[in-house]
Amino acid sequence: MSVLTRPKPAPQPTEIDPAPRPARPFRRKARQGLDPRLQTFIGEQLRLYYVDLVREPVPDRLVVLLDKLQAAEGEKP
Amino acid sequence: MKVDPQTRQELLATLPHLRAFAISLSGSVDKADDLVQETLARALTNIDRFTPGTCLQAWLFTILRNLFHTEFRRRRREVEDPDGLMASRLAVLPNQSGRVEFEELRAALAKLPHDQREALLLVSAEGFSYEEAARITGAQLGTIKSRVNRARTRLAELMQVDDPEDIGPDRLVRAVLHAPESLR
Repeated sequence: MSVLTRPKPAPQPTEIDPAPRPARPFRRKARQGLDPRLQTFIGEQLRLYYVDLVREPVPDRLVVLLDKLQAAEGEKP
Repeated sequence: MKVDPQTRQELLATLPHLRAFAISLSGSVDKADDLVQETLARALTNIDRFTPGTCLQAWLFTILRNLFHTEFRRRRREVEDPDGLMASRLAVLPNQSGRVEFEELRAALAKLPHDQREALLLVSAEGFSYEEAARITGAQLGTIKSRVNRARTRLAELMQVDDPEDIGPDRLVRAVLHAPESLR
């Protein structure tokens, strides 16, 4: 078998990682504040959702109402 | 009192923002449009109380927010309506019906207590400073900060992104792909 075709060694299974992360390290942190990465993610999602709403066309009746109200206010002494 | 063209322009520019806030707050497009309509009427009637040079947008948000809370308290007295039930599912606009990417967020937002939702929308979505949000809601600065923090933490829990590793490329790519062009 040529060196070029020799299969690469299988990656080490992660289960035998000698120093596994402590379970749910974030949970403990949550009381002190949200992880900055999560905070950014949530913030981005929220902005995307909101920008979508702001881009919705405003119903004509609201613009018409604004002009009517303005005209009425203008007539007041 | 006559509204000068510049104020009118500002009012028009604020309309989509007032409406987005009202929709997110009330969970209903119809209710939101009524709220915006009533806000405009109040604003025009009291325009002489508005101090020129200050933030018209913040002033309008204050009016809308107060109207919403008056309504909210009234409903609460009439029917037992615990937090979040009124907006147990936030409204989906016709154009958004096929947009599933915000479904998780909408559902999570609707489950927040209303004071947290309000603070989060003002600061994180609309972009008001903590100080402005405190003025708009009549709450202490520290209260607003704490509400925003609790709202973010709760949203993360509800959207099940409680581990930073979960955010992974898939989720981020999905968010970017669906982003409006202006944000890309």
